Amino acid sequence: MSSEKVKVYLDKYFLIIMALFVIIISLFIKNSYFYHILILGGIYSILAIGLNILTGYCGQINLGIAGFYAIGAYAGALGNLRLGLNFWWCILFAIVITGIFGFLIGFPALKVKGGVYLVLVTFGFAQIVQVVLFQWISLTRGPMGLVGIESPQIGTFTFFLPQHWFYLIYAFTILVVFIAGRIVDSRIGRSFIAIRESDSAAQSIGISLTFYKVLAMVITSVFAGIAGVLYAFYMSVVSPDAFDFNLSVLVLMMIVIGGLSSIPGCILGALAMVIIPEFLRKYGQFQMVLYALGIILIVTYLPNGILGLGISIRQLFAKFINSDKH
Amino acid sequence: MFIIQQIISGLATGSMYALVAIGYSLIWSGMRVVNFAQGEVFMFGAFIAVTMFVILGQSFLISTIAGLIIGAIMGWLIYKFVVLPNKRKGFLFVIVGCIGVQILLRNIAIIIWGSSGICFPSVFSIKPIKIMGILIVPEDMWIFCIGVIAMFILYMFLNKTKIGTAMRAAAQNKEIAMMMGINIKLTDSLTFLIGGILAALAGILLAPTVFVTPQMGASIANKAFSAAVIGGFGSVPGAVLGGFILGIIENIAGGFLSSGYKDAIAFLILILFLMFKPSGLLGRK
Amino acid sequence: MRKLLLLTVVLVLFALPVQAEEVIKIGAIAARTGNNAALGQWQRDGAMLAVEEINAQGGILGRKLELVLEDSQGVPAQAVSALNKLIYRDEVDIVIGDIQSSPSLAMLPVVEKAGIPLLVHGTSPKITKQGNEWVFRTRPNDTVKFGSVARFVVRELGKDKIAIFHDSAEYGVGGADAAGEALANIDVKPVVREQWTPGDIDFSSQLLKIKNSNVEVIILIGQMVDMGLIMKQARQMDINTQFVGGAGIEDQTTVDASGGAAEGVIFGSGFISTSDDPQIEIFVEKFEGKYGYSPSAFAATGYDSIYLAANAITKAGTVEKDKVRDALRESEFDGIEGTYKFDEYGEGLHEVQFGIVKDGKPVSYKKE
Repeated sequence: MSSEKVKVYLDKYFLIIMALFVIIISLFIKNSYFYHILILGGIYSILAIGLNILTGYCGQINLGIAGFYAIGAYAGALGNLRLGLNFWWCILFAIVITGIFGFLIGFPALKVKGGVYLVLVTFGFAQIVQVVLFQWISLTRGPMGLVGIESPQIGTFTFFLPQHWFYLIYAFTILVVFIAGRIVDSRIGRSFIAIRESDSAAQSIGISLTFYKVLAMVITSVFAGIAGVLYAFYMSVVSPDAFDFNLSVLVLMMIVIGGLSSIPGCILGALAMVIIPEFLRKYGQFQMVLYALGIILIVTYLPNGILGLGISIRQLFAKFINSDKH
Repeated sequence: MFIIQQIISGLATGSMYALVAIGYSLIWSGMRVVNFAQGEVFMFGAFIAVTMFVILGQSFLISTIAGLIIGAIMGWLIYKFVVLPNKRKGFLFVIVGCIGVQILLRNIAIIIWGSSGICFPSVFSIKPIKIMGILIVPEDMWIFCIGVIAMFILYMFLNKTKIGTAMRAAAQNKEIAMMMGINIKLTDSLTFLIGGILAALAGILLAPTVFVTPQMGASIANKAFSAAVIGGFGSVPGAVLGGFILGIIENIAGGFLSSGYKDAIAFLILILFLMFKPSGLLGRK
Repeated sequence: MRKLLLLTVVLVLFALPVQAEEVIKIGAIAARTGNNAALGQWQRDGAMLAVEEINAQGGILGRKLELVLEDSQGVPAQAVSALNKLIYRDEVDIVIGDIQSSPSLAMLPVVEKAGIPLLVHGTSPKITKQGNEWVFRTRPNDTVKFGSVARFVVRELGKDKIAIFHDSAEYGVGGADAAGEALANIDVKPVVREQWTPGDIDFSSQLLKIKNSNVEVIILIGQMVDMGLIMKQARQMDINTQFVGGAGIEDQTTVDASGGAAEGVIFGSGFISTSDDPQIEIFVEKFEGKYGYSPSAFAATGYDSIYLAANAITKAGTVEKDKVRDALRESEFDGIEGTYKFDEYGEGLHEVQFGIVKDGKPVSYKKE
């Protein structure tokens, strides 16, 4: 099967494939470590899909997704610990708050033509978020973090075991995949892609640049917020040091590896970026060196991501053959 | 008196921010690319110098030169292997590639030199001089003076030499420059080379006053970045101005506001500028 | 399709548990990379030394010890991943670590769910307040340490005009709070409280404020390199006030970074490497012989933790986790850092000793 065909196939039936994947895993795997890795992968998938909407489909680079992730996580944590909201209300709460921030940051930054300023603003924003979380001790307990976030419940059932979390997280992931898929396939999604290809061309056919760019930003922030709440409740502990620039980079890497503008790619990218470092643990000191080399190599030689491996190989091959002719 | 003391203390830090910030602006104006690994070149320059000085017992001058050479080489390597291959694919790929370099360099430094770092013994006396009631530390003066001299040399290079002028022409308009026979590849590699030298110089200047650790690149990079934006991203004089302004404001803010929020000041100023004056103080619109 | 299949196969292979062997496995989590990697290194070195010593004497219960090391990168999510791997994949019998409080806190729910004893090294008081019966702390916590330091300053040094200068990480903030609280309990209010961000290089604005406040003592709480630089810059600014701190301020790294300004610094720590206690002398000698550098309190913690674990397992006669936990709870053990006796919260060390830096080396403090 050629790579393009695989891609189309994946896109169409992806939801079903994912559901099957979840069921098969839960039937055959009992190891908690394994579940933990998959759970992290699921949370990061949501982050990646979110970022992909803005950066992959709409072409605007966001260098501070950790900031929105952090706001979501703290909204969830504070909502539960200070306001007594349960998990489900915290999700709603986080959606509203991150959405507002996404708008506040996005609106002025995206009005300016060209995407550079969004890069800088989101970068600065995420840093400020982290500093504020560290310093505003009366609200966030600063570096000591917040502990004791309650486990989610439905009725009398508490999500407590790793398997429970696995189902819960992947239920959210599948939901996010579904929503993202609907967005991408709609007029909104096509407008995003048009803007990515060319600001001026899109404008000339009547697409409001500001409206769609800000919309993309808000969608991304909301997804990041949801991921944040999931993280907070799963870990039951949040602290500011978890939300640094490295995390924003990690998520960018996920969508680059997965191949920009491909939702299944985001999930593969997220899983890869969680699983591969675990594999590299045995190299001790060299774990991060190999990881960094991997980043550089993949970005340079596999621009279409893992899913585009076939395309990339064929391109390289074609170049090689063509150069022979001279 | 208090304010003046704060300002004087901020000059040395500002000089350092300026050196690294110039690198960012130079690279941006020449190639429309952000080199996120500048901080790590800064750190490596410092480590090479300290290794030569402390472990290999070379003189300060030789150690400095070694550090600068390594800085230049690293700048060029980043250009050749990470920036050049990825330029066509777009901004995102170059950014992520540079960040990969950043992580790579930091961890290589940890492997080579250990995570706790090395102490660079003071080259100048630590005893402060008192002028009109204000304390001036010789090391700080040194950083400030050398920094300014370096900026001056750079100014002469960019404006009075043929290659420097070629670089400025390429920055202004690539197509016309190419048509006039300017070798873009040469100017681009020079840009990175110079950026590397400046970052390494800043690192070497700072090294005697602090402990050289693999993590020292990170905070400098962020601050210098903000400085470049404040001064006008892409403008070399802007980077100088931004660097000094940031260094001084940080100190004043730290003196009068809660010192914990000192870091946030840099980013806050950054965002305010981006929101209301994205071209910075001296940048072109 | 093939790629998805490949990924699934990989994931499954990954999940298969490692073969069990006839060793007793101790898991150790510390930062190997990240800002506090040095501390992780020392903890690891201390632990390795202990493991080798014990194995050289035949191990415990007739089995050798194996140390399984994992990197937490100083980040909570990574610490939890590392912990999960140690428990469910490597199937360790007991875990020691992390040095920092934030990752340690994140590890607590996992340890409770898995039912495995954890010898924790983070010092935030919160760690033992979670009602987790599997947690045992093998360092004096911040309240003990900085409370003692604060009381020492007032009672032993006789000074009550005090500045607290700390960093914004949890060690700094927690320690500063503990010191402030202890001072409040003896009716002393710090004159000024200033803060820095870990990794800062310029402290002049804060130091200027401290200088203008005319305090007699500055309690310094933060990372070693930062504290060294602060003392150096203080001297440069003509500030000759007495510095007092907790573990780390007497370490070689701090002394080097201070360019000599650390001379005369007073500190409170569980461990003073030049002590003439024979147990400590032997430890220092063996450590320096093996690694070529002088051990700090963090190395002593790693070393003691292994011996505590070994001691508990021997007492329990088994590696069954709940029995080991009970044995730990009932232990009374003379380690390098003092006598360990775990209370109902899991706190093991309840006092610190005081020392002073003389000729660049930490020595015990003797009243003159």
